Amino acid sequence: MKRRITICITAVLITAGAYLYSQMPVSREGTIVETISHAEVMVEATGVYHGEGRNERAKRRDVDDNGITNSLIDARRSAIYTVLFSGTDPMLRLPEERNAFEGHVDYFFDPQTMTKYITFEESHFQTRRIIDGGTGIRVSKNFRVNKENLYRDLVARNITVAREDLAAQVGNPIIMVIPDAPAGKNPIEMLTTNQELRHAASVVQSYLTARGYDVIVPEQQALLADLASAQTMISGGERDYAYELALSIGSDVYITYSGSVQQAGRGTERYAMNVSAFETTTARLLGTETGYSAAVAGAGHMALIEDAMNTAVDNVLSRVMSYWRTDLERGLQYKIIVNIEPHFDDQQLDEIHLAWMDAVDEIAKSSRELVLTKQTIDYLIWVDSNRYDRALRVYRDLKNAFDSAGSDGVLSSINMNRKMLLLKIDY
Amino acid sequence: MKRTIITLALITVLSLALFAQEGVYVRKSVSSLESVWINHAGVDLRGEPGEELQLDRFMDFIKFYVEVDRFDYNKLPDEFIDEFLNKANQLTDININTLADVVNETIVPRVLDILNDPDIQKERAEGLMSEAERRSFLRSKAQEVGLTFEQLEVLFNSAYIYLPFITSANSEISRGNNVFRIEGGIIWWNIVDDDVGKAEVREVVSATTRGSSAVNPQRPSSRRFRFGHQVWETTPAQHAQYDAMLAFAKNLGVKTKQIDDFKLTAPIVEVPQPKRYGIEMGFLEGIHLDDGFHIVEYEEQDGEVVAVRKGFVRVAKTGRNHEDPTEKTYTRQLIGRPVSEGAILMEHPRLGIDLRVGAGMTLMSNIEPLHTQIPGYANEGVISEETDSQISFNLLFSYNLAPIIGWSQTFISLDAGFALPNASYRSDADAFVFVASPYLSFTKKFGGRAYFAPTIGGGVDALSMMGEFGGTDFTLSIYSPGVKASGEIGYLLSPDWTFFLSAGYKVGLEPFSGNLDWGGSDIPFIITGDQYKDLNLGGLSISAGLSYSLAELPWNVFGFLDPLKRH
Repeated sequence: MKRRITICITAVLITAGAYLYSQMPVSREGTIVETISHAEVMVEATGVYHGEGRNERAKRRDVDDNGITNSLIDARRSAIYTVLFSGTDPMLRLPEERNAFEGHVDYFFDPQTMTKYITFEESHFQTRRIIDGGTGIRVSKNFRVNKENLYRDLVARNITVAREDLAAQVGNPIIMVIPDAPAGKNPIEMLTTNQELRHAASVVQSYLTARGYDVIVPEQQALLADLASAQTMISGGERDYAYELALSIGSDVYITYSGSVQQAGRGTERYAMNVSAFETTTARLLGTETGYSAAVAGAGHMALIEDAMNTAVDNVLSRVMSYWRTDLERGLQYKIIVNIEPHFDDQQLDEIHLAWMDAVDEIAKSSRELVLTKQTIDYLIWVDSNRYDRALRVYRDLKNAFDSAGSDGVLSSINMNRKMLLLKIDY
Repeated sequence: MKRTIITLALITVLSLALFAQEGVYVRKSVSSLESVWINHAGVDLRGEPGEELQLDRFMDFIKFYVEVDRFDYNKLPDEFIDEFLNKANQLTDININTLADVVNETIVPRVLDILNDPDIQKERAEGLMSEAERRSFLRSKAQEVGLTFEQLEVLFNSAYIYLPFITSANSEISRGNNVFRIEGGIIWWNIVDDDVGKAEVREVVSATTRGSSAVNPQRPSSRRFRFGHQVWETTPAQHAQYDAMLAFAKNLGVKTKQIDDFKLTAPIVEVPQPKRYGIEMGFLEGIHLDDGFHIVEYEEQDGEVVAVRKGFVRVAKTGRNHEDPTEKTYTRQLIGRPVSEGAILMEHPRLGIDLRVGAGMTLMSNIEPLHTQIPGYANEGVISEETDSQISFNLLFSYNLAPIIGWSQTFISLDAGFALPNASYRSDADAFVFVASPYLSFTKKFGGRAYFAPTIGGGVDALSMMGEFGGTDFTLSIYSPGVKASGEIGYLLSPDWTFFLSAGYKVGLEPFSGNLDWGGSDIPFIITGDQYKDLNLGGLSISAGLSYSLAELPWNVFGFLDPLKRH
């Protein structure tokens, strides 16, 4: 009896495994050829079908009868597989997401379900080849895949975390968008004077807001003066306007972009848009991508900019989200720049530094010391997002902890926002 | 051999191109040099008034059969054609290479100018878009979008120039008929443009053909020539020229369609039922009812992609895509196993004329020795016994009327029958007896690869004798009207070859006239008396034969019907 049960269970497992495996695409070949909108991409995907039967003749007959239907199903699966797993910026990037997906393969790759994701299928094949002496067929076609529908199902099945859930925890990342200004040039001025740059910013803004992100396109130089003086003290180098703006505004991430028109032959023009995303607190590069528009004659630059930007920002955004999720696990990040008044002696400075370290250790889940000099302290701290939902609470606890440490210095604020605290220590 | 270029009336043309996906025909833009290259050494005309080469009509036929709907045409301004002609006529040695140099110098830059015209490109943009591109961001967002680089590549490299040529043309009077023969062909050049300042023509193909005609000047029909709804007044010599030129141009039309670059191809996009296929083509590309297409699939064999023929289809309903771009053409598969979407249909250009050859027996006819007497000269017949059977042979040219009347596989046939009475000859007879039966018949085929076809027809049966009597050569013909009805079953052996078995009954009516050529004297006579009362050239006929779908025919058969195709 026991043996029978074992055999039955084994058979069921094998069958279930085979079924799941059968739902996975055979070819898994696909290329995203165009980002059409924030929700849709055009994918050229390949599908393969190998005929079944006892002999070559039966297999060939099976390919004749069922080849195209089954290879098309495989191509549709490959299109979805490409969006989910392939390329540099797949929807499922994290190992845990991929593992979670394995339990839902049958659902996502079911022909009926796939109709939700594939919103358009070209009637013509890109290629259609009989292979293996007629016992197989390989086809490729263009499919339009709706990533938003796919994403909603991924969230519904707890494969990935909903943007709304992330937002509920700590809010979606606030993203600042600014042109990439050449050294010494002010990007805000560029934005107001250059129509194309302004249009590019609006494309990114539109793209991100459609996905529920908070987007800021800075139009005035708020707080830059205070920050500039603090920054200069730290680096002494050339001003990075974008970084300073992002810090002063308090965005989590900032995106810079630059573009140029290229002659692509036969009188056509192609727009190349370079988009980079940075962590605001450190100016660390999170991802950079160049998107190209189609080479077209007589389309006008605005349409080309939008075409190129859609491709570039879509890829960069997935890297931003990946960073954001990882960073959230560490806590809520703040950059703290402390300006120490110059009249403390060395002993007092030692006490201040130690008191500062203790205070940070007391409130932060983790921290990183960037700069520690006699005049400046530059720190990154990660705090519990449940406890610290705003910068003022961080400041309050930090001040209390610092003051209670018993140094001669008094901590006070110059200004603060949701990403940065600009403080000073005085008598 | 001296060759010169002759200027003709200017005709202007425009160009377009379609974006290429696998198996999708790329519309070609074609420019005419409005000229014909003539080898004057090969022209031998009788020199009578009105007998000079009828080049205007020649170009009319060339344009009708060569400038077909699958092409778009570039209008070349007069001055550029003149420049080409001036330079070509100055050549001391005219051959394809030197002509190509002149074309490169004078015409190619002008064609590129036309293709570069933004307005023209804008006109063509819609046709160049693939389905996916129509749904792409740029298309949906930027309504005024122009052509992409890839589409322009297609546009600039699908421009062609053609030049017809005549290597020989001669006329003569033969047996009282005006005879005209023409030989020549057509040169096709493709403009190859690399977009870095180098554009030149590459010879695609030089196809050759011929046409000939013999016109009886006594017949009233030799005084006019009909082509569709057009009728031209002609002399018999001109009529013969027109006739031969039409056959010549029609052959060139098929040969042009047979060039790989110009063959219509389309992937199957719909399979409404097994062996019925929909393709995105139609009247816009010049497809007509009953046009044949091979089914082709691409196979990977030893790392290479090869096209393999899988079957054959015939157009069952032509899509009116000139009115509604989404309307498809539907075809019916005749040969091969069913295929699925994505298989390619590749045009199999033919004249639309089948040559049918059959052999068999006619039973229940009646030919007596009495019927083979020479009235007024011999009282005994050539044959020595009565016979009721004939061994028959048939040669038919069947023209498919389907594109004209909209009924698939409906044919009008010129039927030239020839039969030998199954009887013994009188031992001292020095003559040969046969029955010639020119008929006009109509046939409608039902079915697919295997079919049934009823035929009705009418014509004349001529009991004829040729030989010598008393040292005088003679030819005697007794004409008897007849009507026939038959049924045929057939089977398509290949796209071009058909085997058929036919059985029918011909009602042979009483003879009404005769003609005796006695020693060179032609003596027509009216049948009176009872001599031929029992002559019956009809009866039950059975035959078997083969039919071949022609791609070339040096004679004009029913060519006047070609402009009437509308289905």
